[in-house]
Amino acid sequence: MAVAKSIYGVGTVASLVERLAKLPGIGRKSAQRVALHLLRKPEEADALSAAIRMLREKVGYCRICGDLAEEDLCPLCSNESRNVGTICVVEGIGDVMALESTGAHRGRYHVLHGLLSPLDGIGPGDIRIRQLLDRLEPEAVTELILATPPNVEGDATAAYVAEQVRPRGVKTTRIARGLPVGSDVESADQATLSRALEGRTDLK
Amino acid sequence: MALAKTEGVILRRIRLGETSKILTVLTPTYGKIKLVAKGARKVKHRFGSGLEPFSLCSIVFYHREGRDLLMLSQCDTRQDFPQFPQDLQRFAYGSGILEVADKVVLGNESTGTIYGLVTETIARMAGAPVRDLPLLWWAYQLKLLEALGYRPELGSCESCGRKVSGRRVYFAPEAGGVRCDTCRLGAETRVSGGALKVLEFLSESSWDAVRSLKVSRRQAGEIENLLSRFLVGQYGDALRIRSLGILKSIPKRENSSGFSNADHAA
Repeated sequence: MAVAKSIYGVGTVASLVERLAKLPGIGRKSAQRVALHLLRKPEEADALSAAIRMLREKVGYCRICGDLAEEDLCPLCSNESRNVGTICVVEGIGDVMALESTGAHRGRYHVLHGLLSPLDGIGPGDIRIRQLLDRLEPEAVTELILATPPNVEGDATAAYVAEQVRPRGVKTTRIARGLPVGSDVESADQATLSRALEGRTDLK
Repeated sequence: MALAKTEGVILRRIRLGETSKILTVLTPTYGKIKLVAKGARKVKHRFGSGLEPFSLCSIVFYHREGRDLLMLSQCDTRQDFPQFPQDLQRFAYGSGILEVADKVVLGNESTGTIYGLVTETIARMAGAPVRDLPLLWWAYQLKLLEALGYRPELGSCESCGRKVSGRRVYFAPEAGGVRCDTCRLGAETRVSGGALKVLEFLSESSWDAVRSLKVSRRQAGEIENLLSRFLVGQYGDALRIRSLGILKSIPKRENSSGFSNADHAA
């Protein structure tokens, strides 16, 4: 019979290690290192605890796009220099961070907070599609960039949004798919290669 | 630990940690297996695009008796069905096919017939007009129940064995079929003759014949209700199928289901 390893140490430290080990990417050993580090550096422990408290108290979701916000609107929606006519539709907050880090999109975002997934019982009413459709007219949107992931749920969500938007005359585009930068053609699988060929572009 | 090679259809996949996936795969020889695809969520990974639901793949994995989770070594897509995500109704019905298979196949029993049925239905559903999707969905459930030895008794009373017909036929999902007016206990629901005929036709006909069937909207509702209650009656609450629930929240397209409003369509 397997015996669960108990954490050595006083109860408070053991409990902190237990909690830290539940965080993504942190194993038991790393959790123990972080806990001992916080014990040795009380000023860092206080700053971390204050930052976590602030996170819980101040951070919510933007009323318009669903991204993280400390006020009613997020910094991107309240920034008037952004192109209001283009909205990039993404699955989650991490996607906004990834796309913003490229600096290639100067428009706004819409976070769906999920994807259509019949197997998980997630339908159009469970993600923020209605809120997206409600934005189109007041914001004079001319293009929706559908940047949901290239998997069955992401494709289904993009196709459904495009179908709902079509009667309103807003242009919808899908982010390109194909070979990752730095990869080899010979090592790509059939589906990726055929979609890369379908989505080929003119060299200007 | 030996390397094993087989084909399979991906029923489901969940995230594992930051970079990996766990796949539930239905195979003809090893039954339903769960495979860890290490690194499959990285941009560059070695498994290609075949790790998506509905994909038919050739897989190589490390096989070990008695293990719940096995390690995927290679995966090549034999056929994928991009038609499913293009239409939410097709996606919901197709997901229903995978969900039922996932729930009725419990482990690594031999599943050649069920595997053939699942892959055939997926291929047919991928190419079918939207109006035929419910017919294929019902036919799949009836053929699957037959393959599993749970075919519902539709022509005769499951209790006394007498042929049933006319207006007074009742459905007892836990008992395994219909009952006559004499044998009914009281809690059963009445079944229309039209719905019974459709169910019998679907369970006995070839796939091509199934698509020629005309069903009224009322019969469609009745059949859907009877089949879902039958699955739950025979297998318990685990067989409440979630995939089709989302159809209720899809704005209706005109004639998308292809059902007529006439009650006598069958």
